[in-house]
Amino acid sequence: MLTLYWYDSQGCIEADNINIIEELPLLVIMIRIFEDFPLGMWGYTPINVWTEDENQQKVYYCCEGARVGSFQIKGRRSFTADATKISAQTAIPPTIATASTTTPAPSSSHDEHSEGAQLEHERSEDILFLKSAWPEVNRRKEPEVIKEAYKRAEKLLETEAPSVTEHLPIVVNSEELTYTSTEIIRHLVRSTTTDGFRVQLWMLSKKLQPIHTLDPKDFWVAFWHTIRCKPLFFSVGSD
Amino acid sequence: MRLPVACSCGIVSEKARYRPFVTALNEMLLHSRKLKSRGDTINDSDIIFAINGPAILESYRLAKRKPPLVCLLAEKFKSSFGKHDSPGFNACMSNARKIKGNNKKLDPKEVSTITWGNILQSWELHANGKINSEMRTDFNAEEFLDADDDEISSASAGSKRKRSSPSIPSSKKIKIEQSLSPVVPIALKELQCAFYGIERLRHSMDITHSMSILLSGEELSPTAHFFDTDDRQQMKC
Repeated sequence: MLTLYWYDSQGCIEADNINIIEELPLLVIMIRIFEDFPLGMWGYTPINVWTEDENQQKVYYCCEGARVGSFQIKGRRSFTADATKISAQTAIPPTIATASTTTPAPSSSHDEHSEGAQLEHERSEDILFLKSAWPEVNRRKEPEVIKEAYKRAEKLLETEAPSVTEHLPIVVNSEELTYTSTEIIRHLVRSTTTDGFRVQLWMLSKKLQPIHTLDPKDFWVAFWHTIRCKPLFFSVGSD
Repeated sequence: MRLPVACSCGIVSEKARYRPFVTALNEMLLHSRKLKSRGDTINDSDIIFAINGPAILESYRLAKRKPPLVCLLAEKFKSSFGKHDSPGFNACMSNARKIKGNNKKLDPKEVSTITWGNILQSWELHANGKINSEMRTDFNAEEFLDADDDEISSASAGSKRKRSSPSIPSSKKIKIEQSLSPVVPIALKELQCAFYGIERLRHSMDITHSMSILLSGEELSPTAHFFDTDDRQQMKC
């Protein structure tokens, strides 16, 4: 008996069994259909992560280094990574998978010292924090929640607002990839499932400095700031 | 192609099934290529089935496990395991069934080029018992390759399929004897398939879903049963 299992962020779909002796034609047809699958049907859907520059031109980013997600099927299945800006000379919009070896093009300045400082500055500006996750379709998405938190903190906390807003991510861009919705396959197989659908969402935000890299004095200041942020954050109704 | 399938299913030992079964799957691909008047050239989206042994890929979660058969892009297979004199699909097919047969250790460089992200599909062959070979296996390709679109699309979607086939009277269909359940708990093989699925899912954020196929050997009852289209397991989500 042959059974096909489909795994995605919403769980597992088990297809009807095929008796490969009695129903050999079905096996052959299945293999023939597999042969004609585009890569998307195999589950490979490269993502273009981008922001817009001051001229409203798309600037693409790619992952730095290999990242492995959590060992789970059903759930948010979060991936996080540093994302590096791709140089404008890159002709083809990169994907997360293919652009990992691409590096930004060097500057042509003559002043080596200022060139180095400028490059360092540009590089730190060019590295963003990338997060990909599979939230439920009907739930509020993370970029929206962050935006609401800023709004409430500034409205309700007034002078204390920076104690919250300085600890919130600065979202540069995000995109919900509607074509990845788990509802699509369930609709196609006429599943009776009516809720719990998930969709992939990526978010680029400014990279925060890790607390463990601070000097001891600055570490404790930052530490108490985070402790203070928590109740203030709850007081404006965010979680 | 029916001979290697019947041959594979007639083997009680799981490992001995790998070679004839992967041959059968690749023969199906080859037959389809011939119907499309395709030559030996490999295109970017062409797939191939290969024996995962010696292990190209393994999962180390909870227990060491590896899918016996894998489906991957033929181009990737060729670049990783193809020899200098094997540029085409036929040569890749030959290599795909020889990996295990040669029983040689793979070059670590070859193995390192294949990741879970390169595997399109994992196949688990779980032999639990004998398969009665008295039932009909002498299908002709023409009997099913002209299947209408409805049949193909419903088979693809995994939903309830058309049961009528002009060549097989419904009264002759044989039902699996469910009472002959394997000794090993059934969840284990399903769990094993899920492991392979998860390994692929976690490999990259570019992977939206994965598929695994479980082929479990059952001892089929020699008694014929009648059943209708509703007597099938429905899609579970």
